[in-house]
Amino acid sequence: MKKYHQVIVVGGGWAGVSAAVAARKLGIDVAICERTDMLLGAGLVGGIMRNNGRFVAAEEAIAMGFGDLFALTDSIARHRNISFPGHNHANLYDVLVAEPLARSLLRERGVTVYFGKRITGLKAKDGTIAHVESEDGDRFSAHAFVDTTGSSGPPGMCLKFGNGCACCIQRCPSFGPRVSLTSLMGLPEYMSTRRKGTFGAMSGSCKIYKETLGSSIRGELDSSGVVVIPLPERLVNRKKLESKVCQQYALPEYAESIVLLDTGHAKLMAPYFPLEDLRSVPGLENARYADPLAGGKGNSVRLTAVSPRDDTMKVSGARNLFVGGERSGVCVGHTEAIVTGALAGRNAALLALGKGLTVIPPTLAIGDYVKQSGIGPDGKPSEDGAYGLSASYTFAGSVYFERMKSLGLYTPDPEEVKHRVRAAGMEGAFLQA
Amino acid sequence: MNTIINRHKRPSVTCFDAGSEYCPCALAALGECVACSLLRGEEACVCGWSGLCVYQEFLRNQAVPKPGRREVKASIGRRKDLVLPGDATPRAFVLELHLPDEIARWCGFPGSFVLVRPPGTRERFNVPVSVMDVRDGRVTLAVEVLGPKTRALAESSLEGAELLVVAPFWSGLHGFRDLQRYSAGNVLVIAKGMGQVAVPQLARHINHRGGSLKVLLGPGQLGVVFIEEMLKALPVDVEILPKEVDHNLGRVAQELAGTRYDLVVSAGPDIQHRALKGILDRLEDLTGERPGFTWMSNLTMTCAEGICGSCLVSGLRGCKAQVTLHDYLGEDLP
Repeated sequence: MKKYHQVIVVGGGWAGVSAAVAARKLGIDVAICERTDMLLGAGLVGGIMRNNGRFVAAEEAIAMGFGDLFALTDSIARHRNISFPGHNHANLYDVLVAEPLARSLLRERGVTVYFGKRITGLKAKDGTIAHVESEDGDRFSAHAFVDTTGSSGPPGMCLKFGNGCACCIQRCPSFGPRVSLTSLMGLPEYMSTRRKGTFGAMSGSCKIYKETLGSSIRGELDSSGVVVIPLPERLVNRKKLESKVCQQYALPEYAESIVLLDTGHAKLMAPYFPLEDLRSVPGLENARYADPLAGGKGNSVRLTAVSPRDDTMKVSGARNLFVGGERSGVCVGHTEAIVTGALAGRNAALLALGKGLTVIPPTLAIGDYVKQSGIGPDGKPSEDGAYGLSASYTFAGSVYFERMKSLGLYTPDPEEVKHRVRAAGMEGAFLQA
Repeated sequence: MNTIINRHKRPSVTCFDAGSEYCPCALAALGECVACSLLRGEEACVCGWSGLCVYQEFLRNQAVPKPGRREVKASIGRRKDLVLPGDATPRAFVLELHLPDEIARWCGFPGSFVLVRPPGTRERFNVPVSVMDVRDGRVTLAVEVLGPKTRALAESSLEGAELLVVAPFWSGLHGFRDLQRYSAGNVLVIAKGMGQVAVPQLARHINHRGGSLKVLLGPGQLGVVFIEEMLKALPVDVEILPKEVDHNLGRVAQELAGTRYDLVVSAGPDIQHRALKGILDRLEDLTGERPGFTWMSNLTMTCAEGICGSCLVSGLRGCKAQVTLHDYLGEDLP
């Protein structure tokens, strides 16, 4: 099969869906090639929106005209404006119902989606990709491509830098692991390090079937969205915090207690927790993992392949390849995936239309984030003084939220955000070319 | 600290043996695994994905290879010679071997082959032979008499005698994923000469999966069609190609133009694979549709375990690696 679209997005996670929706806003014919049978990728086990600086990012996105996916998750929020350790004004949405909604959104907008199409080859000349090729030999050609293949796995990486395949939502053994377009072009990629220089970073949370929790914990979770259970000292493992990809949740509270959030499943804010230990906690005697299935042993290893890029999200060394989501920098989280994906999708569409590319001004949190989280062709972060590849950048906490606060980019006031977007000349900017 | 990853030294491909009881093999310990870049000492996991992680299998096996295929003795059942008019000696012969059940069972896939040699000879006498059919622990093989190895085998392969067998191997058909994918569809097989040996197993495989099969049979270099009888028991639409039009493949092009096929299988020489590729290219240009393609390996098999290198094609070990048609034909991608 040979297919042509103006823009092809490879990878149907939050970043890819966002890229496709953003490209469609410019009237572009866009398709997504997704290797599995579901959209949203690792985001299928997300659940937390609008916490801390993510609130600003979401409101900026809405004001700039690409708030569609925030509207989607807001519409299925189980809890609004809640607080949990280190985090304020969070919305928790139901991860179990998000995917069909994303699917119908794409259908509504006229995005073509090819499921079961794992891209494993491409033809490129002088940095321009002519077509990509799926494992089963189908060819997809386009004017511009967006690589939103993510940065977790493949299983070999989970084994080399984690505790092995933990049977996570990525489902590599069933559908084959992601393959990045950057790597297929022979361009360099970089791996993030943990603070102490070891590679890779582990997903920071597990999902537990709510039905397996004690009734009082379940009740509290349903009503308030958060349960914090202090751990006896013998079960406290502070070292685990260093391995977390989500450094916004690498706070002492998360080692000293069990933090559960209600995202449809009970989201356990730890990269893994030996099942026997977990079950020794009152109320969790019958707990069972929903994701990763081997959550007692380990979790997926992420940020193993980050592509150098510029502020338009164009991959360094490529002419028609853009990158969004975790591949686009040392960034984590689906708010981050949505905003970087949208910019990548928009710029791919603009390139296909032969128009100038968009850079979001750094007076906006998203603009500054795009600058800060990316790495340049030399593998160095775009500005000095950043933590480089040893940090993970998220609006929600850790080094980047600190930066937001110090630059005055953080505000819990939506009107203030709207005003800033207007002042930056970006109001509704994503709605037209 | 930054690490650049993904400087591919070699392409990663799917391995025929991955996930089998013979994986990880000696190549894993030698840093030469065809599937796993990590086992080849590269920084990044850029695996051809065989459905499981070979790296994990290797570490789980305490970082040592699995023992590999063992040699067994097999007694010969019936033998049938193919003697052409005017010839004094058989051009080829068909043998039935009694193999242990657990080995025979694993020979029952399309593309399976075995290594056989007469007892008392050394391993250099091993002949790679395709498995034609497997019924009740009896494995049917056809051997073309070509040179010293096959002549020695022909002379020793008497009914009731024994042969030494190493089995099973599975890399007799490349494009194997297409075969898996389209087995339930409409399949056209073009089998010529010794390529005919692939057809009975293919017919059973496709029939079991609900597909339908048309076979165009030609005598090829061998000069004789010899599987017609065998196919009578199977729901297969057989058409015999006359020898004189054997090479121009006009009939094949006509067939493909008239009927929509999901999969085309080329069981013949490389020149036939190349010609069929051309026909499929033109078909795709015309219709935008391209059937899957599976082809018989004509690579030289000696050890069949990735060690000797006699099967190298485009830098890949064709006894293990599931190569692409481009790699197999040594062509650049268009």
